[in-house]
Amino acid sequence: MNKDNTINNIIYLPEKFYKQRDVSIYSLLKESGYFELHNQIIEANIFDGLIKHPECIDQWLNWSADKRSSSGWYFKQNDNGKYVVGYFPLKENLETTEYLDEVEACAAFIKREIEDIRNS
Amino acid sequence: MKRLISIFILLFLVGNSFAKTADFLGVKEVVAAKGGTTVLGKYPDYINLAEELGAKRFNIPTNVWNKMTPAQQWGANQKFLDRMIMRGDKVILSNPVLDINKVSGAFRQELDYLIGKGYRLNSTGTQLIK
Repeated sequence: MNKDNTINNIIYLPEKFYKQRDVSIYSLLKESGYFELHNQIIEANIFDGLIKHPECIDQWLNWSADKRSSSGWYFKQNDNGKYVVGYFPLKENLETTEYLDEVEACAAFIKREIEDIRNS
Repeated sequence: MKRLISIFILLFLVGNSFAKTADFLGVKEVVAAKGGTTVLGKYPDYINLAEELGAKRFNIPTNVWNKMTPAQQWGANQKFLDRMIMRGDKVILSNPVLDINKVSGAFRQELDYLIGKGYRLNSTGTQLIK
């Protein structure tokens, strides 16, 4: 699988997860080709993918809100309209970052989230 | 791994009979259960508020959660809600709901399920009441 296809598969992961119903996010991420290319896919690549498919950003916001896991990354919009990417529970080495740009925030979240899933 | 998840889910469901125990395979639904309060809402707000209040909340170890299908995740969540109903817990919402039509995803699914069981939103949208 080439890099562009993999990036496209990644940004549509939440949609696929809820449509298919019978496959875990771990399996979908594996099928996306990311496990083989994880060192080559950086936030900037995901950012470029999201610019072409901005409809995926809301899906990732919902994905984050729907998590019921004991720990992990989150992505949400603050009351002041800024986008926040952080880790629950708070950890010294994992920063919480505020973004003005939702695409930048979403790309940062996706990269962190898929790394977490790959390593789970 | 599939076998491990199946075992986890089976044990989780059997966990009904362990409702008084503290930490069931990492699922912190009965930890720090003070006065029968459960918090529902969006991640991670509902966990933060539950920790603050010493209330119950539904969460599953991340490595298991990531390997569950949507149907398995909802099945486990539903069991948690059923036990919460049986206990008659006070239900607090970490994210106030003024218009349920603006709520989506897992939180909406939880609200719809409980409304179907006779709960309704209070006037401020901060609790589900019977």
